[in-house]
Amino acid sequence: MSTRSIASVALAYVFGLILGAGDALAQDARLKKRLDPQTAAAVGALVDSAGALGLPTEPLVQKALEGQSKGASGEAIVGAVRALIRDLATARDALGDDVDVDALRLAAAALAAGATPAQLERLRPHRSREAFAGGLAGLVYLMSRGVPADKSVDLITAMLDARLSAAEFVSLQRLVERDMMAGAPAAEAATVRAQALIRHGRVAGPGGGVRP
Amino acid sequence: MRGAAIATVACALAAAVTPTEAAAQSRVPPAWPDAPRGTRGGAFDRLFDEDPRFVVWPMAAVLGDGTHEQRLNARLTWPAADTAPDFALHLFAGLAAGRDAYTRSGLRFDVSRNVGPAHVTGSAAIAGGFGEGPRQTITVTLGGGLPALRLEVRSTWFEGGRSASFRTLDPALPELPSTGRTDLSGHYTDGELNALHRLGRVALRVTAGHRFGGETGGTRQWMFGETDIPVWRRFGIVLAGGVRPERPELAQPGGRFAQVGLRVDFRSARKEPEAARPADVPPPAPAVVPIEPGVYLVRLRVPGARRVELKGDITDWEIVTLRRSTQHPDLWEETFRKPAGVYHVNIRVDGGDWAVPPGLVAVPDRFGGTVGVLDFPPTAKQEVNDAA
Repeated sequence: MSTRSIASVALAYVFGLILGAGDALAQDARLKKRLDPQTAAAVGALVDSAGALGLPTEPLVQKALEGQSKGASGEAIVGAVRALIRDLATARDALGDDVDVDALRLAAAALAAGATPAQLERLRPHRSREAFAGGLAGLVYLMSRGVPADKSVDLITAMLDARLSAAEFVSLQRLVERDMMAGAPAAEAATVRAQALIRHGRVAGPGGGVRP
Repeated sequence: MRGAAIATVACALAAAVTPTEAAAQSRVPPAWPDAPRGTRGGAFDRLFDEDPRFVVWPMAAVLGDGTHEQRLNARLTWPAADTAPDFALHLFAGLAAGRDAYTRSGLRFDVSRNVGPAHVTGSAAIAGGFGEGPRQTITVTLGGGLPALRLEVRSTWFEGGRSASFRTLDPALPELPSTGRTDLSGHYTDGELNALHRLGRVALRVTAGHRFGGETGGTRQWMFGETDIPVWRRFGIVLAGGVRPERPELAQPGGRFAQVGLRVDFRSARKEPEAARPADVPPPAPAVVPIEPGVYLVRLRVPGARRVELKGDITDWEIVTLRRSTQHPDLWEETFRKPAGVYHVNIRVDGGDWAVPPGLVAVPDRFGGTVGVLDFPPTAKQEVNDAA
């Protein structure tokens, strides 16, 4: 975690404490409706402070609602929202301020799955590509299937370098899944399939474009 | 009769126009385009966003006394889904020929809600007819149960018309000995228990019932079986037999019967289900079909499921029961109004544990479990995430 993201999270906590102590008028109505008052106030304060730092707030509200729907305790919900703020801030540091919310969420998921900020930073040069979010989804997928994080980043970076489209990342998932069902180790299947897609896959248009 | 009619229409309209509780309490105004399905206002709004379904059933039956009857029923339904919509509107018409020739048409409203694992339904139908049957009928039905076993109570009021086959259900009305016919007015209440079992695409249903009120020319207890066998594309064969109740509002004599029918199903031209996949092919990811900007159809393949529920960022983590697709019994679908983006979802099959939908990337949910990552793509017109 970089100094900047540590500072961001610390600021979020301070804002949260200040706002949480007062009347949380700005609280999302969904939080007030679904969470107990203390948890709603704490989450609302965290959401407000994250918003003040320019982080997306809807994923935080959804995380709290998810916790409530899964029967998590108030403490666990607040902890999950804090952890998500930390990962979103870290992801933004690693990828740059101009990445979209979807990419940020996927990068935060990659961090939660065990990726390091340094590994995410290796993807930063590709952030303007149309398939960037697809690449992050591919990264999360490979890590979820047990491919080591470094190896996963290598493969995804190579695919982004080859300007593959988002559809190719979906294909990668499908092909690796099929190989694993046939008994192939995840890392080996991912390597073979990624290289095949790079060699034979449909190449996206020049420049890759920017995702709207 | 008039009171029953007013109450029926009032209940149906109230159910149709009242926003859901979620909409009333949500910060999102009911008509906002990014409001999740189930939080939009007025059921009619959502109803007519859906594709209709038109089904025609020509049928022939042999009755216990050796006579024959022929029927032609037709129904136009919004939405097209054949299971568990929270609100549905049907326009129906029927023609019966045999001992009695009778034509009827009308409309029916269905509402349903999930109460724990149970599904509670209510419906109200109002119809008019001419020929050898009642002029006006009203039927109100309340039911509930699990997908495989349901209990229904059905009350029917009918008035006017004459019949050669049915006895009056109202002893106060005079017989007409000169014609052998009776004035056809009355009321009765039936209770029925339905058991449904699916063998692949074939549906088997057994119904047992009892008539509680009103006089009847047929039996007060009945039991019959039905099976619906999809044959090819829009066509299916419907077989039924056993002992059925007398139902004057349908010009249906009671007693033993054996019936064969054809089902012809017209609906929107969605993709036909894929052919069977080899066993070593991974389960396909949910299909995400952009319908229009900000509106996506999510379709999951869950073989053998009787009930599939979904919750996630696209529903504010409220539980939504998916509809069984009219294309294939293993496909379950729902339409969601959300902007393009990446969402987290879980599903539950037949009341089991919440899990990641088959084919989706699983990520830690920070509560000790996992969620699936579902992508609503920004570009329209192309089906993605679909391994079909």
